[in-house]
Amino acid sequence: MSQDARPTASASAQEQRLPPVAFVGTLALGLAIAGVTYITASLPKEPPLAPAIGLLAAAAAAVIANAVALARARNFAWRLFFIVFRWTILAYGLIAGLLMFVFIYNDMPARMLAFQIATLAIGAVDIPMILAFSVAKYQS
Amino acid sequence: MADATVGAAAVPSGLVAGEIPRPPRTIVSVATLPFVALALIYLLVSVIGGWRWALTFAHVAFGAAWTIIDLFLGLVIGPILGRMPIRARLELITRLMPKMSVIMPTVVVVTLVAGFQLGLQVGVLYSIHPYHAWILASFAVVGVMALIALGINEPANLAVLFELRKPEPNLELVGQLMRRFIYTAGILGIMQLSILIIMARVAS
Repeated sequence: MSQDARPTASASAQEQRLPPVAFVGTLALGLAIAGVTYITASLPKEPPLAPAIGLLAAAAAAVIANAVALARARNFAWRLFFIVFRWTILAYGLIAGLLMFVFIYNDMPARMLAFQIATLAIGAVDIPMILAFSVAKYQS
Repeated sequence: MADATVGAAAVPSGLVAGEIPRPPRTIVSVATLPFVALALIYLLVSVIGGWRWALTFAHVAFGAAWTIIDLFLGLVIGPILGRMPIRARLELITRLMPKMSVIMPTVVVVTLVAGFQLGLQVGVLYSIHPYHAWILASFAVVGVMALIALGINEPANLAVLFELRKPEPNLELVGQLMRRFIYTAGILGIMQLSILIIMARVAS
């Protein structure tokens, strides 16, 4: 745990000791963004939702897999992780809430609205996890 | 005394731990939070009011700020930062980055929400609009930018700030993370040029 034990450890060496949470989280974010782009491309009509739901389910699975892999990590700076996670989830939760309001305000069709809210919810967990992990991994 | 010696040994580039510039205890710049609140209130009022001029102002002003900050940071500040002495670099980072971690998410959210609302009003978001393909192209570019910003750029920024809060920060690690930040900022700056082209095409 001591800083002195590895004063010259490189960023990549420290990253290799932990699961690739940032990479998987970014992948999940990419899947979620792809789903939203697919839906928005067909406005004002509602396209077949199956591809978008598939992308969203894959994103959700990646976020869950990330959480499980991280929960098994040893010597991880959990205290700092949760400090950063708490504040970033507050910030990104606020942003997600603002976007949900805009979607609801514009009378988006119910199924599309449900999809967008689910996407925002995944993003509001995924982004704080990426940021909190990225800070805590160098403190572990 | 013993601590100072350990600090000096752990920190390269001739800096002793006591001389290293530190970010604020809060990491983010608390002084910028009223600006965030004002921007979000303005955005909400514009959306609820449905005023096209207010939405256009928000989209253009905040979008311009987003583009200019990315271009300036990536293509002007970045290369300069790489040639600065380590202490000057840390002085700049510890003052600039806490503000950036608040300003950038705010600027991005206001730009995107105002743009979405404006797109609905003007009709460019609808698939029958002749410029719809350009808007989709902008979605793709912004999507990739979001991945770079949230997956690499912002994590590197935060990691640097937290590393510099340690009693004996690893400056080699800080250097690596800063390079990562600067390179991705440069990529974002270049991608912003394509957004400028798309928006100029849509607006003309």
